[in-house]
Amino acid sequence: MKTKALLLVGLFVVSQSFAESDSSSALELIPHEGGFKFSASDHMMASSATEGDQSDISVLKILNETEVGAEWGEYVASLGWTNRYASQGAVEPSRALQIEKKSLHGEWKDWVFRLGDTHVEFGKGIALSLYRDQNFGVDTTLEGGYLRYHPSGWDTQVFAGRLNGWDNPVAIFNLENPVASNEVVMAGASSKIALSDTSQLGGHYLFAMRRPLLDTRYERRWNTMGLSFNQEGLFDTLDFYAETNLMLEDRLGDPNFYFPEAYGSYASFTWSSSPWKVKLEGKDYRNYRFDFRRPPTLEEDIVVSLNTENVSATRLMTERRFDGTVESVAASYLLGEDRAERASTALHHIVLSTKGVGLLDSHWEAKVGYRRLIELSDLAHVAFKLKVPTSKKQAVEMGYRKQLSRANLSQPELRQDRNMMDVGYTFSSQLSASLGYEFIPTANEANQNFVNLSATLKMDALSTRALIGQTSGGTLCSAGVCRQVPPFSGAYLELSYSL
Amino acid sequence: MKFLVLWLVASSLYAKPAPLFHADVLGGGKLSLAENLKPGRGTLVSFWATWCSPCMEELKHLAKVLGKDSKIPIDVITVNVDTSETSSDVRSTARLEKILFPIALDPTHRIFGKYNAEKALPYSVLLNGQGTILKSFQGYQPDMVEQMQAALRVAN
Repeated sequence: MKTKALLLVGLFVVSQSFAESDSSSALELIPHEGGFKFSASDHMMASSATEGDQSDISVLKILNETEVGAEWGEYVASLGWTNRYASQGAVEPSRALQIEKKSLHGEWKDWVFRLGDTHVEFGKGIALSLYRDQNFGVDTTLEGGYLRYHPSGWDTQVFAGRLNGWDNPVAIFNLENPVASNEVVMAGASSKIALSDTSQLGGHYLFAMRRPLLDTRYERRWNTMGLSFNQEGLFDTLDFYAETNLMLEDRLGDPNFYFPEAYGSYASFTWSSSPWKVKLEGKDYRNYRFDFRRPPTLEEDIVVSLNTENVSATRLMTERRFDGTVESVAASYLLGEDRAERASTALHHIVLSTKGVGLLDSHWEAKVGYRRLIELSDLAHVAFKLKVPTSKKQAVEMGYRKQLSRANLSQPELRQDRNMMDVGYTFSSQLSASLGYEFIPTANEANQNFVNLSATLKMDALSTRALIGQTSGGTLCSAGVCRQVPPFSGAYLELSYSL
Repeated sequence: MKFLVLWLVASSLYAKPAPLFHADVLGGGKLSLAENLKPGRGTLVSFWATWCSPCMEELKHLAKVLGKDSKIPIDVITVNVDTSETSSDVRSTARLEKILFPIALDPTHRIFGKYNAEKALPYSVLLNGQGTILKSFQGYQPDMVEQMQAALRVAN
């Protein structure tokens, strides 16, 4: 009887919470009848793995993130917090409760206001991008006020506040909180007007200052101005986008010191007429040292490039698609200049890729490429994926990737050979499992073999993933951002649930 | 523990009202999910990105099957989730793949995150005329039109 009652209560709360979910923070709320509604989501991760330099000590960590929301008419309030338990030996200690994000916002047809935490981005993210990326445990928000007015043909936003990082990330490979030891305040505005149905002209301005938490004075200041232009569907085949930014950086309290002016520009020109697509892109980033951005990389297959501060490149990509099925062949060539590695280093990267449908309705993809920083380093890479259906909703998947790299061309014997392969089986649209194996015969470490087993279970509102074994680390890319991550050895269970 | 299991089972079985949304549309204008819902018809909200091959496969399949048989009572709204890095490819991809369904733009994943916290693609949701989620599809499923028709028959 008690269980039935609990079930009924559960059903009631679930129904109420889903009824609430027609409020989305960036969306215009659809007019609806008033009434209080509630939502909640939870993301939990438990891991047992070695950490830091103590490679023989396994650390148990339980990380939890909860967000609750409430809606009343056009207004939505939300609160997010984290909990962290870590056993002895962990780099980060336990933390019983940490309030992470809080916000209140209202949205009408042409107006949006937000108080509290919000993500903001200008254009392509060259000048500013505050975003969440769960893979890297990054969720930097603007904690302050935000106002947007966007009637037809015009879109304007203004904001001001301080940056708020993610103190207790629920992630295996989390980056350091970029505002852990500094306070960064910023204010900005952007406006975009429609010149026609298919073209827009925009401008933006950002002011930011930084202060070490242990200091009372701000020691750094940035002023950024940018312009963007977008033209889509010219002659029904051409699309064009261009953006340029100028950033001025000052060291406060030191009038005799000047940072060089920073520039960040990007342009793309795309011609597409079935079955062909040709895209020409260019980027030019000079002295652009600002942590809160996510600029285009132009990398077809990002494997080594982490430099988005001092680099210029242009890339030409040609693709031919085949009607009826998902088949294509593509080639891209990137020519650039990487100014981070040495005074100036020419960069070449060519990638050929193809995908298609083969025997037994199998889907395959193949990619091969070669990247060379002249007189410095090179890298050859090849990858192959295959998915073969075995029955309705079931399939076996295989993948193989090899990378041969030389970090110093004057010492060719210091070559690294990385081999990554995985075999997985999809049992249904809800359940899949995979066995991964990495072999690095040139590794200096004692361990050259990394084996892991993972499984994923998805239901409507519930998603779980478990992994046990080892991964070798290396460059991990997510949403156009790449970082070096350490090896992992242990097990973890990840669970996400939303009401 | 028993309560937790019952809660999970109950909530996964319960028919959920879909998160409604307004969004900018590729080519100008705005799209309202509520205004696209029609009594007696299903609406499929399909999330996709330019780099997602199975998404293209799904959209092509839907265009082919639904275009061939106008009696199937299903409308399609697509939501593109390309971020700023690849957002300039949306129009050319739609042109190449001949995607004629309405394309709502969600570069910051505000809509996508409400429907699918894990943000895995392809992901599609079938709604009835009242905006209730009848079925969701994680991954491209070649028989999804048949599954949708069956779900609509049960719902109606």
